[in-house]
Amino acid sequence: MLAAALKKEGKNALAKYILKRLGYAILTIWVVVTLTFIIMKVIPGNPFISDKMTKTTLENLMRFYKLDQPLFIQYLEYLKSVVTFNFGPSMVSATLDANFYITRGLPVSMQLGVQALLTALIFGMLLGVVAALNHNRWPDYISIIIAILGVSVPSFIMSRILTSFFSLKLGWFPVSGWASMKSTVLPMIALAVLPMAQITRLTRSSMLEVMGMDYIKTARAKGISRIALILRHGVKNASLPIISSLGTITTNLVTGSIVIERIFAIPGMGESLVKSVGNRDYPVIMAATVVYSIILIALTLAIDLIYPFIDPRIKIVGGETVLAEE
Amino acid sequence: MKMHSRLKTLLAAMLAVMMLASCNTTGSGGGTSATPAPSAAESTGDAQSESGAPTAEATSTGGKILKVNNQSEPGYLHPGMATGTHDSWAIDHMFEGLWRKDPEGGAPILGMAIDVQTSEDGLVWTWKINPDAKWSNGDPVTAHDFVAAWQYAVNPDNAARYGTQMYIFVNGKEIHNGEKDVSELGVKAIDDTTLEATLVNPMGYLSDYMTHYTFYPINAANAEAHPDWSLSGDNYVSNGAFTLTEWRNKESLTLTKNQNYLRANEVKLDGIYFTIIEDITTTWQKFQQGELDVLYPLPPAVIEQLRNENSPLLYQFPDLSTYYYYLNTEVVPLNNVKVRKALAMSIDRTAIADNVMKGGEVPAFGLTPPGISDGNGDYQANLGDLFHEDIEEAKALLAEGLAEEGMTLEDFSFTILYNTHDTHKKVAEAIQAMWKQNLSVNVEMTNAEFQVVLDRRKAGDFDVCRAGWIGDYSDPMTFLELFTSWSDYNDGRWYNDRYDELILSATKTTDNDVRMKAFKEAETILMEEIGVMPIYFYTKNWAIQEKVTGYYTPVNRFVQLQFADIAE
Repeated sequence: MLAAALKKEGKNALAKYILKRLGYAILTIWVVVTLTFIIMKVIPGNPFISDKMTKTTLENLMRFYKLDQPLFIQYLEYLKSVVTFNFGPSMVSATLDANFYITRGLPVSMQLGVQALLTALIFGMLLGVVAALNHNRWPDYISIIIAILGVSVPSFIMSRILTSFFSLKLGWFPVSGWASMKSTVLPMIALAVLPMAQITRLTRSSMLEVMGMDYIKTARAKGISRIALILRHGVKNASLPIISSLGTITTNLVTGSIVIERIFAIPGMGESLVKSVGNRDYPVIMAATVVYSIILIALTLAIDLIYPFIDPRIKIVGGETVLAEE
Repeated sequence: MKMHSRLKTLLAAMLAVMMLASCNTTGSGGGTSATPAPSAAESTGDAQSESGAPTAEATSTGGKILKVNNQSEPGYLHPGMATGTHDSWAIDHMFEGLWRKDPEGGAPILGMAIDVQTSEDGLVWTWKINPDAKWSNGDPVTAHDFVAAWQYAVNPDNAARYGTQMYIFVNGKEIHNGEKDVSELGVKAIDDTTLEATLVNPMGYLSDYMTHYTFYPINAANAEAHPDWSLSGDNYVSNGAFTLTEWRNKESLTLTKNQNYLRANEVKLDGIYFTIIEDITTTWQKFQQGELDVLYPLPPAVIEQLRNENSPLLYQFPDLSTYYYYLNTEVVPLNNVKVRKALAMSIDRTAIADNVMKGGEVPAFGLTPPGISDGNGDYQANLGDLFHEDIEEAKALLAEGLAEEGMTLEDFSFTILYNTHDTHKKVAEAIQAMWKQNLSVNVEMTNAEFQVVLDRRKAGDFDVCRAGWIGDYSDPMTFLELFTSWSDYNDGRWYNDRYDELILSATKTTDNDVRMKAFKEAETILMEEIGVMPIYFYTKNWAIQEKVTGYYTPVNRFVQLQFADIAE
């Protein structure tokens, strides 16, 4: 039915919608880049400052990296670097340019993030469903306890606990590094803990609400099997709030990975971003900011596009997502 | 209904594909591409697995590989461009200069040079390069290689951070300022094995000064053929005990024994493998697992624990560095000598060293740390403590000083500025408490990021500010010249004509006794007026596995492993 509706005015509406969103995306990225540039130039310090820096050496360095040019010219250079996606050399290293951090770091961070997200989704939803179906009995209480622990224990403590036990004591996994699939397990778990807890709680409350709905009773009366009931009617509808909170969850994953990457010595983007700010490594800061902006914007757009497919009550009309009249 | 479940399958499939496709684990492929394959960086807690062993390329030369950690990714592995220990520790193992540090005792001895002559006035130096000295690619080490290296470092277009080292040569400063051409640097190759340099001032301590990494040679021919030679292991050519065979950015460095090294027969290791891990708890865990043989820095709690256990793993040695506070002499009443002396005399440095730092630090009552020879023993030991702690005297001095400035104790309040770091915070808290208790002064604390603090220090925007200095070479000048009126580092803005005069005179003479006398008088003045408030002399605490032998630690260097060995 949605497909049919889409066919008529849908294709046009969808295209209009995507175009509009892309336009906003470009505008957003431009604002982010400009603000980042302003902030970078306003905060004190420069990439070369050190205890042993002399005036002449500093002048030579500023000239070498073209930081002695008028601000407006520098701004235009940055815009150019963003548009061509070539951010220039790192200011603290001869070998690395800003793009290196993206080409090398991004796939690593994304893999870590995706693995953590899947772990969080699968186990979170599982726990949440189990809890909801066993409302006020012991599986429910255990789920809640796990969820509370997950939200309260900071990720760096969780990392140390996991390493102490599974690495040092049992020797199942490496202490650090990103050499093989085995290396990814502990960081993945450490990173997944918080989102898993959040998803558990969300799933549980959402599931409870859904299972109490009229259409569930109708379906049961119709004779649908319990499994089909839970999965097709229960979980599917309960997952709507989770999808809409995926934006926040992913943001948490992105920022949380900074700590995890440092502790497990994972060559990802997160710790590069933090270090580049401390180093005032402008090209790397710019590259990381742009990449993160694109990721978050793309994610939000993807979620908004998926929504009409999952929730039949929502459709895209005239360039907007609207809740159709029931 | 059907479409929804199909969609779900599609989504699930997409995610799975995405995950498999982005399955990038670091592999043995080139430095910047990530391919799935086990790499040498892997280390497991499982003692039976052989991971932690280096890649096939390194082991093909033999098995004795020392495993160490470079705390951060080197910015440069070019001696002329290196900026600090994260660059220079590896570089020190790959290059050797005209002089080198003696593994026994640490004095500067001839390295690549077999002979050196000085003119009467001490300004013109001539070295004979050892004709047997070779580069790792078989080329002979020539005088041109030194000229090329030093010209590279001073060339303003290269923006080398330590280009200022070349100021000791005629025209060095002018070239760096862009006033003269690089070819006018006061060094030249008389012939392939004869190098001549003209200094601006006589320097009796030149041999020690030039063991610094900025003075290492580079293979001129190779640098010309491959301008990017220092960015990877592909065209890396060096003249020291090891050479770079692989650089995996932000992961590891592989150094392999240089068979053409002048003293290759003394090198027992086949290679050194540097991991690049920043987190000190993680590296300590690896050390405990035997995945690292040598480790610095250590978590403070671990240092304390190892000291308490008298552990043979702990290697503690003095560092040529001083931790001090700048007192801004342009802020009233810190302009008053008596006030500054009162502040310096009313803190308990032993308590700070033993209870706050706990790393074997030494209370400092002077600027120059121990470890420098004055020709007659240790400079600092012979000079002695230049002031002492005395709370009663401090109170009296403070009252007098404040009265001279027309202030009362209630008017006197100031802030300690330090860069955000756990250690500096603890020290500042201790000192704040001591001043409050002993002098009843009102002291606040504030911290900021390192860059911000440096900015403020340079601008004079502070009352009291934490700082430190690492000596660049083994002579009191590296510390005492900080407080001349022409120094770029005199952030407390303390000036004294007699001090300037003494330091200047020390640069003009070759007579070591005269120099040392001048230094001692100058440092005495500095401490009489508390132009800076020293707190402690640094120590370094390393962890070294018992099976490692043959390492040595010259003053102001990291542990040197060129001639190290691993007992089986």
